[in-house]
Amino acid sequence: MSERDPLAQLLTELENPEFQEALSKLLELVKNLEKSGLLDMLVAITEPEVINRIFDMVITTGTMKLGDSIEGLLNKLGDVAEALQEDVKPASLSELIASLKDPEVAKGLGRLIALLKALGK
Amino acid sequence: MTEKVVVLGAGTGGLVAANLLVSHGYDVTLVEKKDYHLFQPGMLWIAFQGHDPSKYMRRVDTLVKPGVNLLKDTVESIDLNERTVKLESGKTLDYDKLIIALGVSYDYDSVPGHRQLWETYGDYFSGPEHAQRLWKHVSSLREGKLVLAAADPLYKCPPAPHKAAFLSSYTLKKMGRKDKVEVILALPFIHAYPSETMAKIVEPKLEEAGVTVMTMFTVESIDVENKKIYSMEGEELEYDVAAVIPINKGPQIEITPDSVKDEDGFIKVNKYTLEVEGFDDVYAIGDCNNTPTSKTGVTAHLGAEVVVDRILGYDAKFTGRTNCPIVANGTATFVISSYEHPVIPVKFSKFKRMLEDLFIAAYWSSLRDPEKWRSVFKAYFEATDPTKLGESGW
Amino acid sequence: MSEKIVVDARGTACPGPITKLVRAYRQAKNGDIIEVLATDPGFKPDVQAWVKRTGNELVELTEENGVIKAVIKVTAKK
Repeated sequence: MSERDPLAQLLTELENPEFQEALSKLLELVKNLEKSGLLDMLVAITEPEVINRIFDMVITTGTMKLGDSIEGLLNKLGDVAEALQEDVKPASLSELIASLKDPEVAKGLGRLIALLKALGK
Repeated sequence: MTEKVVVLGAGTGGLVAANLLVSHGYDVTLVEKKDYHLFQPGMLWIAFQGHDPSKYMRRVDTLVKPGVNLLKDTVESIDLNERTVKLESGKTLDYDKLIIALGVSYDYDSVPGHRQLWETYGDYFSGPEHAQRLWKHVSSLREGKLVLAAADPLYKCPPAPHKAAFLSSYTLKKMGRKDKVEVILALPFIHAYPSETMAKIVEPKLEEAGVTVMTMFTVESIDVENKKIYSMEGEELEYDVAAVIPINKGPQIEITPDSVKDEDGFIKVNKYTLEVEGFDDVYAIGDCNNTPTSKTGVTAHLGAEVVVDRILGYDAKFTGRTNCPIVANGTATFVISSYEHPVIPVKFSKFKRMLEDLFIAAYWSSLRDPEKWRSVFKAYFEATDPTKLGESGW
Repeated sequence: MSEKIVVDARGTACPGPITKLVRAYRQAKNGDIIEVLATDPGFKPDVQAWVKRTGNELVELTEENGVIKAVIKVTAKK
């Protein structure tokens, strides 16, 4: 809420070494973006019309629900990764049937069926 | 000849309407008595986490597009038959179209003791200076009871006291006073939140934060000397620091004809077109009208878009859509409903907190350049339409 | 003199018809009758809970064509 002249404020900022350092890094970033051709792409992408199209595609009922479940999904993925690391011996059909008594396996199977249903919609 | 539109009030609704109309080539005059626009939810962070008010304030003249004729003045009276607006400076404006966006006014005098309580402790509704006063008391409360209550069930931003309870309990925890200070949320509703659907989601979260919830407690009088609050339902509460949401009323201005105001001074409108009853050239948007939906920045913003579209000649309709954010520690949820659809269950998540952070980050830009944000907001409101999210909610 | 106060809360969603009842109750005095009309289905259990807590008298609670009518006699005002 400062009432000071913005130009004068900028000049004092320029004397601040922290700001000078940040500014030189920013220039380096801009140079790199230009060299790699990414700057051109960024300029094109940030055209309001393109941004609107991107938002329109990204913001849907599905993505809103997905965003909400990402936390749970990531935790699940962690568990899956852990299970993949485990040493297991090959299972027979009778072992597969027996394992259905395991509530975790039964629940997982239920999830799998729900997933298949959703995929078939 | 260009149509002359007069917009009264530079809150969320007024700024969005004025800036949209000027980009469509209308002759727009915006009247505002204050120099600064306040991001009102910011008062919660000022009052309960000690934030600097400057973070939530911007000069009104930096929020209007070039071309908007901004008048720093106070509205005294409006004559809808004569199509004139009288200002405190003595100036009289005439208009082809009028948009009233004057918000609510607060009544601290109908509840005995309320003015004295407010002058002592402040609150998180009436302005940044009062929120700072409340912070002074909250931050120096070593032990005892912090009471957050309401004088009436109809106030703007229904989840404001819940946010206040969450934020203050986290602050007290951080200060190591959680066991010494009890946060009591005492509200007029039957459940912890006006909508039972959301109460079921919010109540366990409040419990988790250690907040004591009291329902059916509408403040009737306050005894500041003995630090006691009495409810209309016949109970009493002791406090060490208390903030009571004031009775909200319509804007304190004279309108001719008087019949367009309801008994509390809210302006009677068609709930879909937002046209003031009996006048097709006058609209009332945001908190100052009597639409049966929550009084929030989101409804003001959406209302402004509807009114601008109608002035442009489209048959746009206001849906009463709400999107009231409730923030808890690191998470958030939204209260989502519309005229056609009651509140759906929406649970707390980190993702929604991120969305809320993005909404806040876009706030200033969405006021000054609302046209740039329209399609983004439209996509969001369509994606989260209560009928689309379904009964299982979000 | 006792009065009859009619509160029309039809079509009111969040924050709901109970809001209008509470507001009418502030103005009322013992002996008054408050009649509330509402369409929100949640109003029925809500008004019962409210009457129980406040100690006022529920004279009538009916539903016809989707409109809930609650008639309350004010008896618990101090």
